[in-house]
Amino acid sequence: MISITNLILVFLFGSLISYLLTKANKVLGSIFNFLLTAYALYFLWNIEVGRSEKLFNIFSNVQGSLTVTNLGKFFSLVSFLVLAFVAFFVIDWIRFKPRSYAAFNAFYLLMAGGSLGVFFANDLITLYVFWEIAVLASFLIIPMGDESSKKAAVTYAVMSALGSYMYLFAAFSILNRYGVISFKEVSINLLNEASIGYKWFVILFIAAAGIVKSGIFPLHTWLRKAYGGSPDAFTAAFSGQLSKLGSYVLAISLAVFPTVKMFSPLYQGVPTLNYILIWLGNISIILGTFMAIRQNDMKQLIAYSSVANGGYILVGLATLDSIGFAGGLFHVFNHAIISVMVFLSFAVVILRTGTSKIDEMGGLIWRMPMTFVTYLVGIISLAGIPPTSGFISKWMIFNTLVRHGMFVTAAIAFIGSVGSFLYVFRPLAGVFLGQLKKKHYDLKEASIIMLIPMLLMVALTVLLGVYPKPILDLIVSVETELGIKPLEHAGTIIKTPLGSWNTITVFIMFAVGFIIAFILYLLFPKAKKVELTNQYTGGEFLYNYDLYHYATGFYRFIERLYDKHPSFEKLYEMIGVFFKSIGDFVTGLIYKPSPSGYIFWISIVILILYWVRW
Amino acid sequence: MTALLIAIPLLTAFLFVPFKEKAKFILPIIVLINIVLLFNLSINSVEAMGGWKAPFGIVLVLDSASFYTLLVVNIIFLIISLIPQITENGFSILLLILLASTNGLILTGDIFNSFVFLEITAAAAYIIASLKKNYYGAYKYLIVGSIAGGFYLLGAIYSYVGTGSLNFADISLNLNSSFLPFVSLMLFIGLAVETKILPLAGWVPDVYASGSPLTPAILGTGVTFTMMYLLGRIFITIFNGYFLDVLYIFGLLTLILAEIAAFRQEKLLKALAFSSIAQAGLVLSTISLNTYDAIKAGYFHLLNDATAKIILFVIAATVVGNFMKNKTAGISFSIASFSLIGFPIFAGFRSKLLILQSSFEKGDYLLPTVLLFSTIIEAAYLLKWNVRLWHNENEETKQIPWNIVLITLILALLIIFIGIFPDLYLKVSENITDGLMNYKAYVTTVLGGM
Repeated sequence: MISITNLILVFLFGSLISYLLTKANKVLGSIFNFLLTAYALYFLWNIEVGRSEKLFNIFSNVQGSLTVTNLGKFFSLVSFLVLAFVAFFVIDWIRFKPRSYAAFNAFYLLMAGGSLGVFFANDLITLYVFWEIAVLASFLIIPMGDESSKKAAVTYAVMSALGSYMYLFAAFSILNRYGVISFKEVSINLLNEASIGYKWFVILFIAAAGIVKSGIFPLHTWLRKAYGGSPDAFTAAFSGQLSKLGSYVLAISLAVFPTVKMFSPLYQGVPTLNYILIWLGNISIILGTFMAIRQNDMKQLIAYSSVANGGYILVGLATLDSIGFAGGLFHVFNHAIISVMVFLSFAVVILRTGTSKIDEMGGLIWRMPMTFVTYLVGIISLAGIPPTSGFISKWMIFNTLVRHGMFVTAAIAFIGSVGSFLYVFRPLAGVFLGQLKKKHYDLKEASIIMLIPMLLMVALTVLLGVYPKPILDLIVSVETELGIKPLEHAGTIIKTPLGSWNTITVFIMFAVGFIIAFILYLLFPKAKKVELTNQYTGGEFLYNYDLYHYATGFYRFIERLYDKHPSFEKLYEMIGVFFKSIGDFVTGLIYKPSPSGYIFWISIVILILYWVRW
Repeated sequence: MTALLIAIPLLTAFLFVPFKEKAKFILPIIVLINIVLLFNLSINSVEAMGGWKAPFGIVLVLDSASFYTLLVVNIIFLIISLIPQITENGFSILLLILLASTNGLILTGDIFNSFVFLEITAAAAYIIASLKKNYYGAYKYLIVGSIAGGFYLLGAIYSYVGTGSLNFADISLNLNSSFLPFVSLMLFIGLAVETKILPLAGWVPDVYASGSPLTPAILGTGVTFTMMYLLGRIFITIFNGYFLDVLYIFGLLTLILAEIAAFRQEKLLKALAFSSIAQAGLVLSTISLNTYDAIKAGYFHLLNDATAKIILFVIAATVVGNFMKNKTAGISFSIASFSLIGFPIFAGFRSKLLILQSSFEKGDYLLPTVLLFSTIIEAAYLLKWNVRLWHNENEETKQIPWNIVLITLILALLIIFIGIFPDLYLKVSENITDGLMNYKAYVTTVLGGM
């Protein structure tokens, strides 16, 4: 078995090989990508925890190193599951990409290598190095999407820089104060730290990087455009894998640095800082849900849903409760595979129809049933309906909130969950159901290569909804490692103080219900098939059926309630404009004037210096 | 022997005035001769001009700081001379004069002599600034540069009055302390224009953004490096850290204001010009922390910045249309801008880490905050330009000469190499720092153990 360092190097140099291979043959390069990510997935599955490797000298006295932890292993498995599946999808998808395909594949591997380093970094600065590699690679891929993606990429990079520089500032402050940066030693030092203010500063600044990446309010605004505009297959990896880097950093700042022991509890064993983060998660849930309801672009819709799901993950992790933390981690996994299912089915739809606007489509179920099934199971899991795995994680989070008596938080989480029914139904009704448009009559289903990863994900989410033991085992090992009371479970039965949950029973109930419905379907007479125009209204036959597909202003009655909502996107644009005006001001004062103006400045500087100093 | 470093280029320049067209070909040879000569000189040697001993005559001092600065500046000239396309006819002679005067500026141990070389450098720079018919920009530079030169001269006169000598080492030992504020103020004004400190750097955008690749490539790297060296020599070695707090504040203001102004610019070359002002501010405030690590980090960053800026300016001024048609040049450009922002694996990351580390060590939290904040703004506009140049629909193309592509690519690979193994640049900056900080050794070397 090769070392992790070598594996990362294979990815970094593999990106060059992938570039050349893809340049020669699009499919060949993508197969190379898939093989590499699949090998990494196999490698990570077998990797033993506790392994440690020296990496490079950051400074003469500070050595960067890699260590395998249970937390890192969990996150990297989720990541590479996503990356390998998306890479498989890309094998066929890339044939339709007219330009920048070679660079796409190369940066994809670069991003994978960066993420691998992030999950196994043993100290703050090594993590930062790999983090920035992953950010850079993803930044380079985004502008290969549609027109709006050019600006989105820059917004993404700037917001990401904001978070990661706050992180870096905290990392250097720690290095300067304690002389160590490895997570273990830093957490020991933080436990003995006397100054409360300093601990707040460190945790918040380190969490900032995670907050940006996982799209938590108030730094969520980049998601809409970045997810909406980036290349369609990449969005699946972006949402499913890259945003999980953010959840990883959040887990580090909250659980690896023992926040529960560092601060005194405020309410039900949750410290004030964690409570604030829970509230940020809550706001993200509300905001993501309600904004998703408004979107007409299906990718932007799911982008807002990612904001909401990032909120669920943060709420779960920040409770640091045995079940809540497990729920957060499980939701990381669920959201990852849901993103893959949803965004890959969208990628197929966009590839075939050439649009991502919901009201320009309809009735695609007649042409692409398998894609429809993928999307359907994806949203069932997203909305948290049993027997899919999405239910288990949401249930664990709700359970914790109720048990801790956080009723407002729990209520918000419920509202978000109900809201998610609303927004996931919009693409379902608008894109897949309803009437098929004339221009879409000769669309084809996705090719078999595209369908394989999509349907495997469907199988996976149902399978893990029935038999969640593999994931639960991983989560238990993570919790044991972090000193949180491990979740009690027996394969299919999850035990909590509020009662237990047996996934098999639930599955059987659903299966029986399904079978009954199926029998009824067989028994009752078949529906009569009619032509689309074979109907009438108001005594008149219809001829122009395109008009009767109800997708525009789908949730107008709800949207009307918050039409004049305050927008953070506008606020950040205003900040951008503000800096531009300062720039104008500086340019006007210093650069624009004629040489006499420059002489004026020389005299001003002399006068100021005389005045200040003597 | 040391004097030959100044004499050879100066003499060649005058000899080649009748053969303007041929000067292009002689330039690289002269620079190479200079570099070879440099390696044959012994470090820590002092050469007295005309046989007059130290405090009385002009001396040329070659210590580790001036040796490595000379090396860097000459290599920059070598790189520029290898792309003769960007040099218009007749300007090679100016480059030779510029080379002579920067070498003199680095070597000299005499304040009046340094004024003379400063003026020659400036005069050559004014003419180079007027390339591409950029007369108004050059005129602005001329006015503000001459006034700055006047202040520098005034500073030299004050220090003569206060010491009775013009020798750097002697000034450092014997300057009447009541003169110190005036001398440092005058010299600061003189140097602030050349080292691009706001609000005295108004000339920079016009001069750098004239559209000629040569002007910013040589003024923004070689000349800036020389001026930064001179500034370190004066304020760190001679005044021994006095006045650095003022420099620190001006540096920070320059950094933040210039980055914001660059963010506003709608022309790439102007944005790069403001970015170059900002980086000068960063280097200035870093070296004014006046610890060994900080000065090392400052000069290390200056080296990285110079490497990146050559690539950026040359490509920005030569590429027309988008990078899809000029992929290699585009990749070099992107690597240089990533290095400037400070992404890992690139050289700029190393220097930003060192700057952060050294300022935290000093207990200074302001510089890191300002640095990281301005880096966000820098990332915003540099990445915007990268995206725009890679993904615009402009179909216009122009063939870029192969040697420009090759040289920028080599420099870009160097950036990655330094990002992974920074020892090469670190050694240079360590030696410069050693020379600058060890003021006792400087005084004894020059004055011969008085």
